[in-house]
Amino acid sequence: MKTSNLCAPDSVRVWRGYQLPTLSLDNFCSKLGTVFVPATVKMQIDIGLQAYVPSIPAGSAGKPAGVPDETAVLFWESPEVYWNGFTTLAVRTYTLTHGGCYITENNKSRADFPLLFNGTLTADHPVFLVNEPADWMKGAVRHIVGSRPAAQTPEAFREAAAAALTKVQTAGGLDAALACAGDDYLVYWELGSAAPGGPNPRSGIPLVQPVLEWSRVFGPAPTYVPVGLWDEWAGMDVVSGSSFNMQFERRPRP
Amino acid sequence: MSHSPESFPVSPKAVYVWRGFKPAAHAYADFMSFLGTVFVPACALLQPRIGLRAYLPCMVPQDGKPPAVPDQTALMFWRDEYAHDQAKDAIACRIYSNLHGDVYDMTRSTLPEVPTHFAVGTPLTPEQPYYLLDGDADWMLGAVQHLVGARPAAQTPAQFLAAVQAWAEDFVSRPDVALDGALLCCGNDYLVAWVHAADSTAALEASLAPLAALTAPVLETAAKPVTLPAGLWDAWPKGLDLTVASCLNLQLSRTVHAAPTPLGHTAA
Repeated sequence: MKTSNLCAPDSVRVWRGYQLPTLSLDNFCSKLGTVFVPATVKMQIDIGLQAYVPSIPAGSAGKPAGVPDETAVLFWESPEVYWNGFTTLAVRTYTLTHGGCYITENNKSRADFPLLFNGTLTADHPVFLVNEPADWMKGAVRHIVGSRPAAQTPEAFREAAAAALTKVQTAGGLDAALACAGDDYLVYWELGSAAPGGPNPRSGIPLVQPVLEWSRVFGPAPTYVPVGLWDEWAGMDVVSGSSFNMQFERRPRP
Repeated sequence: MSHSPESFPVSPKAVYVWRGFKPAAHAYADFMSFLGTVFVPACALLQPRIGLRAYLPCMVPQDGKPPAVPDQTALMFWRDEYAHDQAKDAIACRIYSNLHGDVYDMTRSTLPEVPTHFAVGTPLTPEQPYYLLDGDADWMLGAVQHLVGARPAAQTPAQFLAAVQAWAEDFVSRPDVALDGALLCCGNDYLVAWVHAADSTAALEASLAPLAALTAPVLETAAKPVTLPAGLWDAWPKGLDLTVASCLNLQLSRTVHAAPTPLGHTAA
């Protein structure tokens, strides 16, 4: 059934990752392309992954250190399905590969489920702006990451970001939208019905971008992993600025 | 010699001899739990399809164990001498390899792993693994005896290595016909050794007893065949309990084709 791939807006893990300082940018991107991104797909389809959109701000010119080096949204059949995944060896193994790529101490790199946006932002608590199910693997995703203006306090920054997101939410016209603000960064994703990479006249990015001092916009490209876990494959070509909307065959819903 | 279809004998040059040390800051119980819930089963489930032919991990008991003796040992037999490196062409192997840094003190655990032929009259090189018998063997099947021993406190490393060398020369000069595999690695402060017999009912304690007598033994045991009760995507929250059986011979799901499948081909 076509609607079976729709995911509730709170069934997504919103990831903000910071690369290990011991890794060069090339090594970080190489690990993402040869291990981490394909493993995310291949190890987790069978336990209920529904969509995966990773982006690589790392290495962007002028990117402040407080802005994540990698972002991703990972949609699941439900939050319960996500948590149940940890009973499997596949998910435990996949999860522990994070230590080879990201700063994990003190919850520096983290993923969280979002709550419905109510006009305010709490640091590191993601929100969803459209309270409707959606299929993020299809349609056009646009993503922006950006930094807090140096002259602003984190609180003032989140207030300004919340005001911009309120405008986006009020304007409507998007199939789905997600955001998360920390003390030093904002990440925002939106799903529209335009073709991937194409313009969206209802985009919220023109409303969000002015509150950011530094920013970069991503247009995730639909991308397949053409092999299985045990096939010969050098991996994906990941560089600074890469952004993917991973395409895969989802397991049948129970 | 013919083998049953389920048997996959490999060269003694195709084994990796692992001696792992846990990070000093990690509790042994946590180390063991991590190995049991993730690391050991991940190795056994991710790698046979790309060349792993036998896997024998062993937890080394901590009571009385000198710090210089490894906390864990393992033998990993591959399809051939090249299979270990070739396996990295597959995502499955790269996922497993990416776990290592989290569990071990890699400064201490990065040691020579590939054995060389033991040559009578040539002094043992510390930390270099050796194979004492030249023939192919299927270490997943049959019987395996494992020894971990510390250097006696009264001996110098040179005396210890010389004594072990004398044992090895005697061993190869009068080979036990029941055995088809034997591996030895001697550091300055410890040794590890394994012997294998194709007959699963063979009692092998006596084979390593003279060597054990040259050490302060830490572990002398037979490897216990264990079949994992779950696959990668099955619910199996607890994983292996390594406190129950600490020296294992994982019974792998093996196929004739055991290599990364080239693009455009379908695995057998």
